[in-house]
Amino acid sequence: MKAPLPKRIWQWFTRTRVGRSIFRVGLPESNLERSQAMVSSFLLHMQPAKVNRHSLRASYSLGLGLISLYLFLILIVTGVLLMFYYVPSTEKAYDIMKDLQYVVSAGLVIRNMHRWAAHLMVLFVLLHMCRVFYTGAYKRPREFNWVIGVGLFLLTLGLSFTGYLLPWDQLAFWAITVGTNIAGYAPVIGLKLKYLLLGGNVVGQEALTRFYALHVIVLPAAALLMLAIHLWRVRKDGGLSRPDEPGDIVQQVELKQLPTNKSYGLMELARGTTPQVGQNPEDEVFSWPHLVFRELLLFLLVTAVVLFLAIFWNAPLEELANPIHPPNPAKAPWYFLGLQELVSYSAFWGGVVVPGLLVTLLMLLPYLDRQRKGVGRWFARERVVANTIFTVCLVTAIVLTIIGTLFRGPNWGWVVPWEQPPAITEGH
Amino acid sequence: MNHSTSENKNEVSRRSFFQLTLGWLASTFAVVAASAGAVRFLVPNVLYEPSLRFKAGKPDDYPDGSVTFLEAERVFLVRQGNTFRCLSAICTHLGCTVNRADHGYHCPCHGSVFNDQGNVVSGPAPRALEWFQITLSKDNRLLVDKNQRVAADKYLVL
Amino acid sequence: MNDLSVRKFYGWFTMLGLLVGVLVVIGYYRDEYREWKGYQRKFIQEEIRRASTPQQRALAEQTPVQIRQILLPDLNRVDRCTTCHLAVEDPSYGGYPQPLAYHPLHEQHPFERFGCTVCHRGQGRATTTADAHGNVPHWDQPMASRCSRTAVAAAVTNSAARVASSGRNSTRSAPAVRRNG
Repeated sequence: MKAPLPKRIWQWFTRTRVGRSIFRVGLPESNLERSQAMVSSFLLHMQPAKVNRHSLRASYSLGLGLISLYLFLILIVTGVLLMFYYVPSTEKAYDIMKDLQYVVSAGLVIRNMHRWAAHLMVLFVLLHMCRVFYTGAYKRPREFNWVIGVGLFLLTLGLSFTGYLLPWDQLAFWAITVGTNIAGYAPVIGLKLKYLLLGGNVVGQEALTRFYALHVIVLPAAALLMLAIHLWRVRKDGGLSRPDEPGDIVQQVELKQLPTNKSYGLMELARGTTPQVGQNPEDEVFSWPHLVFRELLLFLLVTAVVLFLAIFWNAPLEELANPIHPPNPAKAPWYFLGLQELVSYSAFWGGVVVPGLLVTLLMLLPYLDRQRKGVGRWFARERVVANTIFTVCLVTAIVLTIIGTLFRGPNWGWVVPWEQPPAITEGH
Repeated sequence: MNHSTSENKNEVSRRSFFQLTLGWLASTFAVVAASAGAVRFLVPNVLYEPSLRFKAGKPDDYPDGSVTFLEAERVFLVRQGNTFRCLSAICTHLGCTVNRADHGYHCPCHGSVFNDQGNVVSGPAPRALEWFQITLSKDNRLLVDKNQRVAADKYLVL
Repeated sequence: MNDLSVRKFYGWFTMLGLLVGVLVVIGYYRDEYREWKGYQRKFIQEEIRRASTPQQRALAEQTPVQIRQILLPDLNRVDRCTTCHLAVEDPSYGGYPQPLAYHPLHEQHPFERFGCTVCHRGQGRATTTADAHGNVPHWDQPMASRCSRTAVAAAVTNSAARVASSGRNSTRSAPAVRRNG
C-alpha cells in the first residue's frame, strides 16, 4: 500500500516552498537525505548521522539517560505552566496549591505530573549512573563526561530539594528544615552555607524566595548547560560505549586499510575518539530512522507513565506549614532519608564525612580506576572488584533509605511498619 | 553497498500502513489535546478581583431621587421613585472615573460631558456610558451584574 | 541489517500512541466532569421547574455553570461553599435537602461579609464535598453543620471587629467584601 496518510501529508508539506524554507530536508528517502536530515536539523544535529548498532540495543543502555532527559523536559513544560499561578509567598503559596487542585482547569494533573516526574527523575538519574558504572562507560576517554554526570546528579537533587519547599505545607517545611540542618553540619562552611541558603536563620519567606529563584532559573540553567556539554561529550567521546571500541588514542589506525563507503566527508577523521575511527562501516546504521524512531517510542512511553501516575495518584499536600508544630518524626525527602539515617548516628561522620567522601570518590572514580578493560559490557569479569565495591555502597544506601522511610518513627526510634500506624509524615 | 534496508519508495505493507496511521493520528491527537489543555489551564476560572456581580445594599438605603456613587465598583446607583438603575462611572473615552454634576456627569480627564441618560453631550467620548442590569436578589438586596449591559430605558421597578 | 528495521516497532508505536491518547482523554474527562457541576445543574433544573414566567425561565436557563466564591480578604479566606449551596439566600428553598437548602438567620451576618467557614469551619477553598466539609486528612477543622453559639458569637465578634477596623461602611460605599459571581 502507499505510505500512510500522515507521512504523505508531511511529504507534501516539506516540498512546498514554505515547507522547504523551514525544513530544508523533507522526509528522507535516500541515504544522503538521511544524513542531511540529522545534520541540518537544529534539534537533531546533537546526534550523529550514523550510530553504531550496539548503541541501539535497549538491553545495553536501557535508555536510562534518555528517560532522564525526557523527564527533565516534562518537568520544564509543567513547571513553566505552574509558574503562571504560583507565587513564592508564605502567605499565598499554600492557598495557590489548593487552588490548583480545586479550581484551575487541569491544575491537579499538571501539578501531579510535575511531582511524579521529579521523583522519577531523581530515580532514573541514579539508575543511569549505575548503568554507566556497571558497563565501565566512564573509562577513557569518557572520564570527564562522568564528572559532568555526577554534577548533573547533584543538580537533580538540588532541583528536587528546592522544589520540595514550594508548596509550603508541613511536609515541605519540615523536610527542608531537616535538610538544611544537615547541610549546617559541614565543617567550616556549614553554618554560613545554611545562612546563605535560608537567607537567614529560619525557614521563612527569605528561604522560600531563594529556593524559588534557585528552582526556576539558577539550577535549571546550570542543568541545561551541563546537559548540553554532557550530550556533546557523548558525541565527541565516540558515542555510547561499546565492547569493540578502539578506545586507545595511542592506536593509530591506517585509514587507507579500512574500507569506507562514506558518501560525504563530514566525519572522516584519521585519529581521535570520534565514532568513525577504526569502525567497521557495517556496524553503523543511519540515525534516521533507527535511532530517532526508538527515541520517539521511548518518549511516548515516558509520557504515558507520567500521565498515568498523574491521573490516578495525587501528589501530597499536608497542612499549612506551621513552624511551631513539627511532625514527629520530621523526615527529609526520600532521596535524603539515607542521609538522615546516617546523621542520626553521627552528625559529623554521617552527615558530612561519609556523603562528602562518597561524592568526592564518585567524581574521582574514572581517574582512580586504572583498569582499562571491561568497557561496553555489563558486569565485566575484569571489573569484579570495582563492581563489588560499587554494589556494596549502592545497597547500603538503599538499605539506609529503606530504614529511614519505613522503620523510623517518632523521635527517630525504631518502628515496625506493619505493626504500627504509619509515621505521621511520609516522605514522598 | 549501503546497508539500510531498501524499501520501495513510499510503499509499506498493509499492516504497517494501519499501524503507522493509527499511531500518528493518536500521537498528534494527544499533542493537540494536551496543548489545548495547557491553554485552558492558563485561563483563570476564578478571579481575585472585585466581582462583576455584587450586591448594592437594600433598596431603602437609597433615598428617592438620589444618585449614589459606589466607589469600589465604579458605578452610580440611581433611584427615581420606585425605579432603580445602575450606570457605569467609567468614561468611554479612556477609562477615567466620571464625576456627578448637577445634571449629568463630567469626566475630569479630557472634559467629556454626559447627560442623565448617559449619552455624550460633548467631549471626546465615543459612546454613551453603559447601563448595567440590576435585579432584586432572593434576599431583597439590589443585585448589579456588570456582565450584563442593558438599554438605558430598562430599569428595576419595585 | 533487516533485524534493525524499525518496522518491527510499528506495533509498539501504535499502542503507545493510543495509550497516550487515551490517557489524555481520561485526564480531560476527570477534569471536566466535576462534582460541583452536577449539583449546579440540578439547581438549574429546579429553578427552571419552578419558574412561573417566561422571564424567570429564561433567567434560570441562562444561569452559568461556574465556581462561585466569596472573597474575604479581611478574614484571610475564600469560601466556595456557594458553588454547591446555591440557595442559601433564597427563603423559598427552606426545607430542601442539602445542598440546596436555605440558610436561615443570615441577616445579621450576611454571606458577602462573613462567608461561611468563619462559623461553620471546613475547607472553604475546596470544591468537592468531602474536602470542603473538611473530613479529610491534613485538614484539622472539619465542618460543623450547626455551630455552637459561643463559636458563632466569638467568630462574629472577631470578624465584625476586623471588618469594622478596616474602615468600611456598609451602606454608602461598596460592601466590604466582594462576591465573585
